[in-house]
Amino acid sequence: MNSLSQRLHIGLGLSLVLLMALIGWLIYDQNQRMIDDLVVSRLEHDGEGLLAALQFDADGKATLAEGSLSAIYQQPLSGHYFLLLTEKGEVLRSRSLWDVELSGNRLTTGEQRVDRITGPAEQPLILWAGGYHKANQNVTIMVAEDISQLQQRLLENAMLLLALTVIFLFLILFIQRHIVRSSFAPLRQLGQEIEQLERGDIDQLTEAVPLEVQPLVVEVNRLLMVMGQRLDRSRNALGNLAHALKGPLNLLTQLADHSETPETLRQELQQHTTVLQQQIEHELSRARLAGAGSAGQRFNPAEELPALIKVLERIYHDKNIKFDYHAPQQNLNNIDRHDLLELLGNLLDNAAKWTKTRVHCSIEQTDVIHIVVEDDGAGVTEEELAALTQRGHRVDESLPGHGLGLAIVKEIVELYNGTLQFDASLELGGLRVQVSLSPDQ
Amino acid sequence: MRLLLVEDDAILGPRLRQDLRTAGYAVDLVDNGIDAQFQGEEEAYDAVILDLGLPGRPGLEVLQNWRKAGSALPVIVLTARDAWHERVDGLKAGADDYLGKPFHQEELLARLDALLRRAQERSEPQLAVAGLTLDEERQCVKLADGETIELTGTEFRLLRYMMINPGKLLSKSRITEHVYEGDSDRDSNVIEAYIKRLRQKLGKSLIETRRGQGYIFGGEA
Repeated sequence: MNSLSQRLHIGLGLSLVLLMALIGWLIYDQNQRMIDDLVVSRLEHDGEGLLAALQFDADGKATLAEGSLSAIYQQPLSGHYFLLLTEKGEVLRSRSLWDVELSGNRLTTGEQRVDRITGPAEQPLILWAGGYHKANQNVTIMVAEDISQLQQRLLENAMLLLALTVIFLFLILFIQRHIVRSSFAPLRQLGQEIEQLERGDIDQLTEAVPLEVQPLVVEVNRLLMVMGQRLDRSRNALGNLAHALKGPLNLLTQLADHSETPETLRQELQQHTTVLQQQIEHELSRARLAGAGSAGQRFNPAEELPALIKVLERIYHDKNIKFDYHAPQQNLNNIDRHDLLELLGNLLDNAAKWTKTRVHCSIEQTDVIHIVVEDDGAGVTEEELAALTQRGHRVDESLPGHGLGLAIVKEIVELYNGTLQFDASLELGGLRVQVSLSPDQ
Repeated sequence: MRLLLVEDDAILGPRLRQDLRTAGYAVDLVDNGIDAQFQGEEEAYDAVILDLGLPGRPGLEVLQNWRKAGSALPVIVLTARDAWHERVDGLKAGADDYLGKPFHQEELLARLDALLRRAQERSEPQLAVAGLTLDEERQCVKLADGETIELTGTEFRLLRYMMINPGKLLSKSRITEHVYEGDSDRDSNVIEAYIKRLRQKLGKSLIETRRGQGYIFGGEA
């Protein structure tokens, strides 16, 4: 999924983990070094103390002056050890060490070494060793200290640091989530506005949006305006064309009706004007269609259907038809008002033409817009039904009287990626026409 | 009954007026939106036939202005712009009916008749009052005993207007307004003369004279 907020979270999360790992390692390493230095300097100190306490008697036998040693070196396995090696092979070791060797290496005078070794009872030790010269003898002094407790402390500190780091990491990510969410709020609002746009509740997007998306919004608005204007212009031009063509056609129709016109001429005139009228009507209706995703007005069933039914009641004033309908209150999404009125007008007109008393219309919007128009007329035969349903079949040629209206209905259905079905109405007994439109596809 | 016909086509307008006159209506023809609005506001018409593509002021605007001023004048819109959305918009603007061009004259007359009957709240197709039955198609009247009497154009218009308003006191000027066209000679004596001729044809008792006030047809309701 291509999500900006997810990318921001992952990006920030990763860099924070890296940064904190680096800082954590640095702190741990520094602490370790500091402890080592501290221990070593203390060992060196004790070593120098031992050197001072070292005495040689007349035989050259080495002893340590009484009272010069810290009691800690007397307790067995106390963690503090020393070992003295004289040139003559004498070994002086602290009591704490019992008889364990620390290291056998002798050092030359002036040499110093620091080692990590494993001492008695598996204690991790830091060993400091120095070579000295005293009373004409080379002496190697080794002092060691158990650092397991220090290391334990160090580890505990590190764990504490890690725990704090993780807590801070989550805290920062949590805060960032809020920041991201509030920065993206204008985008969510934009999404809502686009839905409103599809329903036709608004005709422009708000341009008070963050700088980064503003050019996009401005461009969308411009396109909406251009499309809307183009649609208006072309529909206006078509209206004018209708006016210009139908004026003379009307005169011809009147002439054909006129009783003074000779009968033969009348018939021919009527025939030609009818064809002309149908052609003009059909082509103009086709040209007026906007199609899915257009910028025109939206269709509100609660507002338009009663008006449309009133128009039909006037046309069929001598039939006394009972129209009823069932439709949602709010605008239908993404469908042009003129297109849908043209569709419903033709379907209802057709039903009204063939019905005896009742016409029922229902509109439902789910993912698709589902329209049903049924009447209680004589219906159509099986053959006619088959002809109507046939794909690519010209409706107007197949069913005299169902006329051009169904041809334009078919065009509208195609424009909205829909389907058109004819069958017998179960409820009313006449023809049932079912249309489903998918303007979002 | 008196109609306002608003049609800017120089050939269709006069021809339509003639057809409507033949059908027994008094017709005033206007060819632009501004005059149309004025006439509709000032004169007492029974119905208007309104073209939408008018010079001066669009027909739909004229209609909206009438409706805004509170006029309930029955209006049939007659237009070449007859897509379904235009019909619906026409109706929303206050039209009572909408007829697309090209139309047949009989269709217009039938719709006009239906509209007038709706406006007068009559449901029966034939006008029958006080034993008289008016045949609007043939412009003659049938008496209670079955005898059919022919009427001249003005007699027919006068009788129809009175039969539509039985039992009401009708002043001479009101009768003149609804029976004569705007540009004709409106001498109230002419009405007196026609009332006299109707009485001769249909019997004296049908139309009662209220001196200084007017006439009552068919006795008080």
